Amino acid sequence: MDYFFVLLFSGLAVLFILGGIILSYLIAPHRPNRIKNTPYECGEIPLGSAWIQFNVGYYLFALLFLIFDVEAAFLYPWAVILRVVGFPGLLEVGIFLLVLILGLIYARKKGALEWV
Amino acid sequence: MIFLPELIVVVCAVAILLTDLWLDERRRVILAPMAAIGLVVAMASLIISVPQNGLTLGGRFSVDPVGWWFKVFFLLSGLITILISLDLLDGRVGVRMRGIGFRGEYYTVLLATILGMMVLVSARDLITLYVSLELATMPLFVLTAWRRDDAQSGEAGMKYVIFGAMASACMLYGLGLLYGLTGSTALTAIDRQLANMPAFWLATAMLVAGIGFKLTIVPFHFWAADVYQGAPAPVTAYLSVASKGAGLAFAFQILYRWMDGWIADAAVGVAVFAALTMTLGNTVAIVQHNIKRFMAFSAISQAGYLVMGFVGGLPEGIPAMLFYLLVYAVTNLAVFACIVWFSNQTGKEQIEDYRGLARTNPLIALTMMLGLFSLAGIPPLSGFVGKFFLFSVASKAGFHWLVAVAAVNSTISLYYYLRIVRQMYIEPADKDSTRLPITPTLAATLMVLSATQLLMGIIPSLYETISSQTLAWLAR
Amino acid sequence: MIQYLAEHGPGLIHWLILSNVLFAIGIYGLLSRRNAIGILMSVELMLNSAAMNAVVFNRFLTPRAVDGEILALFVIAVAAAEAVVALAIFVALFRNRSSIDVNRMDSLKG
Repeated sequence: MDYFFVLLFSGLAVLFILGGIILSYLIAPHRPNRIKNTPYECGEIPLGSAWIQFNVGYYLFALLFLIFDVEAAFLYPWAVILRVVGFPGLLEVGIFLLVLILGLIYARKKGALEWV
Repeated sequence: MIFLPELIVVVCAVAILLTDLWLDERRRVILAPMAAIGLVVAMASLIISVPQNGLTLGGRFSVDPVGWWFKVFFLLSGLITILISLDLLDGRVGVRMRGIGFRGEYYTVLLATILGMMVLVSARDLITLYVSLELATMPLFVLTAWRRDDAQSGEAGMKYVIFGAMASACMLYGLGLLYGLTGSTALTAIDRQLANMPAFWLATAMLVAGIGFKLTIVPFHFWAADVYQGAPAPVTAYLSVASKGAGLAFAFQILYRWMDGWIADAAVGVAVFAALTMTLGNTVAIVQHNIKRFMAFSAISQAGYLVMGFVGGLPEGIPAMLFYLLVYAVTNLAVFACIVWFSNQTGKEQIEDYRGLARTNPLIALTMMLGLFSLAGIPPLSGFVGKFFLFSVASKAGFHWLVAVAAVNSTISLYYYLRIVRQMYIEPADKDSTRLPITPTLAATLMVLSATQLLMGIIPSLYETISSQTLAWLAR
Repeated sequence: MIQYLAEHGPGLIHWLILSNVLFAIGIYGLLSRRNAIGILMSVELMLNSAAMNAVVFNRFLTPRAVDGEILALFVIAVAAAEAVVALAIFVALFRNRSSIDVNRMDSLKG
């Protein structure tokens, strides 16, 4: 019976969303115009198209972030068994972090962290 | 400390990267000697301090004679690659190439792939095996796309990274299935009962695709020509030699440690792959005009010969394969040293551009001719001896048709290697062509490589050493 | 039906089918996409389906060991590294060609 409520909840969630969409489609008047079709940007009047090219700098930051973000996943299992592995484990994680920090130093020195 | 050579390589790689940060552009010429010395020290420590039987890190890392010789091969090809790429990276060239530079990163990335390959042969655990294989492969994507201002290099890198990622995903799926079938990540021989399960065959098919990709086995070779053509010439040299060695090492790891014993059952399949690979490589190479593309198909056919060492799973196949791998490294890199030099000096990469080279630079044309003849397998050059051992393995396994196919292929390959020799020796040189300069380092490298490949063909002691050491271990 | 589903939780075979489907979607995307980033996403899907396989095998076959889970962790890290390398190459290529449409990558010929 563990999964019963999950199933019930999933069913209700689907029903709720589908019901809302169908209901609004059935009873709402359907009269589009230009103002209504503009993207909603918190009340501002949108400038240009949303399909613009992003500055390549964003990608560089994303690449750097991705590496450090994922490497953090290795720290989690270590943190779970911190007391079991003790000092040798701490030392090994220290080496691991040292390598990461070397990467960070490299990125900083190359100017990859500065916005151009 | 049986992982001392690996440790030296990784320390050297990090040291180069950090030194590079605090050097100005003029002083960066010391980075190449740093990398070369690091590899020499690693090689020395491998020869002096690493026993041919060792186990450490809870049995996850071990050295045996086969792995030991593979490591010699990886360090050697890495060292030669550094020696032939430093002219291009330091700018001692006749024609400026766009987008070459970043020497510190180049050597670091190169050392990283060597490290990955060295750990690959020592891995006794699925996780180590997978991570080291990726470490050996991924820097190659970067190296291929190294000329970042050059659209062709970028395109080659893109193709390589897409196909490489696809191959590694397929292979990982196969490895995961085998892990599921055995419930353990240790690379110990799997129970033969598993062989009749569909999941086992699916995993095997996935692994064959992954190995075939690394080794450029037909029909998984399609990426090679474009990637070899677009990559900078020294990187092409490295790809054609070390990357193949890594594929072979991976195949050895899987076939001899994990699926021990099935390689004998799969003899027909291996033989068919070998025959297809060498035939396709040789026939397509005939019509190529770009020299790097030409060498790509030549390398595909050489992979076909190398795979013959696995036919029938005979123990004699392993030393024959290792010996041919070493011969191939020296020979192919000697030819590539000439190609790198020529494209550095003239910026040209068509076979027709080599016309009259024997008039202007007779010595270099001679070394290139020797290398090409050795690749074709003409006695008494080392390529002949290496091929002879491989062919005799196939013959001993009972695959006489494969030997016949391989012999015919050697003849075809002689024809197309002679195309280049003809351009160099028979075609007249352009009127305005003059003697092209060569740097002392590259000249010395070329001389040593040529001498080595001649000696390897004449003096049998190298093969005897490999053979006695590996056979004693395999017979255990 | 709810009763049945509640009593029969997903077993090994269901998870394997799911991972197989993911892998197949990845291959389909790989073959049908023209944008290099889309291809990269498909490959990531394939890698993740393999990682899921490892976790599932670990959970159902050797629940007391963690080998499969560690493997999955390493696969995640390797996939991230692969994505970084691929994206860096694509960005460099885009600067040259102003396009990463794989159908237009045909400058390398024999």
